[in-house]
Order: sequence, then C-alpha cells, then structure tokens
Amino acid sequence: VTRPAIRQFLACVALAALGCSPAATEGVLTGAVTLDGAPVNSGQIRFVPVDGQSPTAGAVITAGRYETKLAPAEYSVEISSPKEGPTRSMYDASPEPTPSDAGAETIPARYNAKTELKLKVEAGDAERNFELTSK
Amino acid sequence: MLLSEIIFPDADADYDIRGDMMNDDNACTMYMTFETPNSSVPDASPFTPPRGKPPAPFDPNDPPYITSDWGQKAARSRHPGGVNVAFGDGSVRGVQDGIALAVWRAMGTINGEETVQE
Repeated sequence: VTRPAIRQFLACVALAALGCSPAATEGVLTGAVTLDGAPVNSGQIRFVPVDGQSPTAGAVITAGRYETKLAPAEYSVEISSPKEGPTRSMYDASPEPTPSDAGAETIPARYNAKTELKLKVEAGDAERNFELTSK
Repeated sequence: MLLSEIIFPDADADYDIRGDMMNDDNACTMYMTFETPNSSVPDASPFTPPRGKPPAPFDPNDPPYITSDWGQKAARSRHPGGVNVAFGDGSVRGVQDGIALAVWRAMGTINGEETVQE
C-alpha cells in the first residue's frame, strides 16, 4: 500500500466521521459551449451518471460558459438552449400573448433528448469545452 | 415517498411559480425525482423570467432556473446536505443530496423495493 493511498484512506475515514456525503470528492468542471463556433448564450448543461450511482449535476449556461461541481463518474451530457422570448406573467390580466416558439429547443436532439455526448470525470478540477455543430 | 421539502424562492415574483400555493398550475407545489435532491441542474418552467440575474454562485435559497417549454423541479431545501421527505407509512426521513440517482428515482415509484440509505 502506497503512502498516498493511506493518506486518501485516512481522509475518507475522517470525512465519514464528519458525516460528509460523497459530494466531498467533487471537483469543479468549467468550460465553453459553442454551436457552429458561436457561443451558446443561454440554456443549461446537464450531467447524468451513466451507472445511476451518483447524483445529477448541471448549470445554467451564461454567455457561452458553464461551471458546475461533479463527483468522479462517467456522465451522459445534455445541452439545451430553449429559444428566448418575452417574459410571460402568471397573473397577467391582459389577453393571452400570441403563440410564439419561445421555449423551443435550438440545439440538435443528439446533444440533449437523444444525447450521444459522454464525459468521464476524474477527481479534481477540469476544463471541458463543448463544440457543437448543427449539421 | 409521498412528499418532500421544496423551495419557494427568495426572489419570488409572479412569474416564478415554484412553490406557489395559491396557484392551480401543475408545476407549483410539485417536485419530480428526475433530478437528485438540491441538484445543481436548473429547474425549468415556461413561467420564469427569460433572462434573470447571474446564476452563479449557486444559491440554495434561489435555485437556478431556465425558461423552457417543459417543466422540471427538483426536491430542494434551505438546509445543507439533503431534503426531508415523507413516506406513505407516515415516516419522515432525511435523504442526502449525494443519493444515487437510480435509488432516488425508484423512491418515486410504489414498488421499486429499493434499499434507502439515510
């Protein structure tokens, strides 16, 4: 048994004693999201553990960037960017707004509903950019 | 599992329907087991502002959201670590944020026969 392994084991014991969840091993993952080279201005990125043994994680995409915390695992990645529209008020007494396509998905389904994106997250912080293409 | 804590956001306005009581829209007091408790995945609703305040850092009192044509809300709480949920047998238990997604989703069904770690 190597010394780092012992240290890691002791750290785990200490964390378990404090009642910490596995979240203690989370690292920060950050990066840019582009579609055909242009930044994806809004929307969300979502990481779903392939084996179902850890929690989901994600973030709002702002100005083409995201930042989230992730436990090491293999994830299926979903990127969504619903079309932005006018603010809809819940209790607005004015007539129904004209139907628009606001809220409609602007990213191809192979990046969200039928995603093919996979990412293996190792322990520690990392940067990962997603360069999507519409073709 | 029948009930869970959910968040009524601090910065609530009439367009943020999360946690609304006097509102019969179908996503108000509801939560889903699609995301794990207190997930960093944003909630989604057609009735949230299209462009809100900056989403970072993550604020559990005002969880992130996006505007979309679908609805999704996670079980959330204002205390760190997990959510308290109520079960059909009358018990109330704490569930940790780090719960395995597969177990959490099984808890949303009536006969998953899952083993729940508290």
